[in-house]
Amino acid sequence: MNAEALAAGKAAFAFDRSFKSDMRIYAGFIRNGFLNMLAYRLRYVTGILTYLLLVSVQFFIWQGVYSDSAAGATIKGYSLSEMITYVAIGWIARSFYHSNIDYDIADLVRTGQISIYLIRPVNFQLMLIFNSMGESLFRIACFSWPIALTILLVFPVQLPAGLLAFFMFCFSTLVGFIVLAQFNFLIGMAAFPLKSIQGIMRAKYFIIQLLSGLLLPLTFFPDWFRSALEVLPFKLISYIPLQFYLGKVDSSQIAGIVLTQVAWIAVLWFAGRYFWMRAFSRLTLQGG
Amino acid sequence: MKAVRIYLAYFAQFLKSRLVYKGDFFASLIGTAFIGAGGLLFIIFLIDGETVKAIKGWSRSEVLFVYGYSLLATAMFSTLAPNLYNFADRYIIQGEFDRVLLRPLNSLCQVLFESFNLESLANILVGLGVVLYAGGKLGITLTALDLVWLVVSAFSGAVILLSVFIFLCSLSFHWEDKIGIAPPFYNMINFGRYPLPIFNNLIQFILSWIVPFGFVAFYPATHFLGRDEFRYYCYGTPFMALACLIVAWFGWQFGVSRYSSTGN
Repeated sequence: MNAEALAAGKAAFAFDRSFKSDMRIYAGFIRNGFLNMLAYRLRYVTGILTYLLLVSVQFFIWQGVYSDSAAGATIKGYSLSEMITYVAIGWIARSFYHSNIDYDIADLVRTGQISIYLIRPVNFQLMLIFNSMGESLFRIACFSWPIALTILLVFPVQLPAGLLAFFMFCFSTLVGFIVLAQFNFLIGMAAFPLKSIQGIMRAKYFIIQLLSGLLLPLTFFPDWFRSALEVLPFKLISYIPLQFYLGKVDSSQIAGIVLTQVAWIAVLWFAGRYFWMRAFSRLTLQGG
Repeated sequence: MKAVRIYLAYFAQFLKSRLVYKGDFFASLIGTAFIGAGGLLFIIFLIDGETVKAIKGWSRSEVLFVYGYSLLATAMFSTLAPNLYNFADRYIIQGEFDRVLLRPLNSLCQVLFESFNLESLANILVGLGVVLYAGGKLGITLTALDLVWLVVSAFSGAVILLSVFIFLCSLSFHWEDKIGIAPPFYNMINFGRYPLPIFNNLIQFILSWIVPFGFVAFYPATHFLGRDEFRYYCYGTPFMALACLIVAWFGWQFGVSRYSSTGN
């Protein structure tokens, strides 16, 4: 064996080992997020009720909207039954994908605890995303399924359009989680120059619900608004997964959508990285 | 009079601490207005007047009118509400209620006046704008008496909301939990932003007699919408507010009498 091959082998081994130990570190963050969530109790019951109420309001509004139309009639491409499914599955998915990375960062900046993370040899961006992933997995294990069960018992919800449709719905919801987490990271980055971002986070909360298509499918928006939403990444959070669930995506479109999903994840990642590096180099700490 | 001066000092103190981050304060102001306006956008896009003309017989302008009306009362409520939202955590679990009890002032007023959500006041402007716009579309002309009703009913609505959440807070004197049972009730406020008849009978009954959020906007708004079938409910709004306040007051007093500190 010559020296070059040996060096290459060593490098590959070192890479493999560091990759493995990295994964162990980030798996630790998943565990952390999971355990934090376990600390709450009554929150489950009130959380389930909250989602039930959120879906109920929407349910009655949509029922009212379709009250003048004949049974089975469609409005802007959706029948009442599809619309109820859209709303119910949309909120169930939201119980999984939503994250509080912006709040976490704002808190770290406000208290000055951000300094600890500057000296830790982990990628701040990845750490926060994995931590949120832990929280989301916790919500699936303890929270999303009772919400789903309650909602499915109360409202007439359709089954997914097919096996592939359901698989793509799950995959796209995971993408939705990553897109939202990265967007929240970018919002959190605003905490560095502004120090406190309560106002922005407050506005964001509702704006995401509207722009992601959770409240209204994109076809219900006026044309000028809709064409903007088609270009922006927000539709990946709620609208696209629900299109898969309802079987409204032609199989020839799947490749294009997946490509868009991957592209947006990459764009948001590098944007986040850029702003984090910028913030890192200009940071002033409050308190200590 | 002395008490009023002290509460004003509480308010001034809060204002100083809030304005440390001026940029954020104004961003919050705009952000809150965005949330109010966002709900309107949902209604405007949904009831586009072409494909969708109404929700169960309630036209776009009527739905907007009720929604705008609800912003008036909820804006006043949210201005005073932040400490009610955190009450169990901040006052009971972290034990700050000890400090409140040591002061010779009414405990409830102290809690309400220690923290404000001034940004919410932006929604009063949004609400008024929508009420005037939708009212104009509906051909409603306002007499002086109508304006008095608008103010009285908006205040009544705010009192009803405050009373419900004060009552829920008073429960945390009996059993401690960080978050309590209030969150679903905050979501129930949303039901009160739409015409009540779009909901089923059970929900209508709950919103009229158990958690009376129907009186926050819909019932008093029917005064302007010419829907006579709701007139008893409509003009009963101030009385409902009074009844809620009485229940909340006794609930609070009873809770305080049972308060035992977490110690430290």
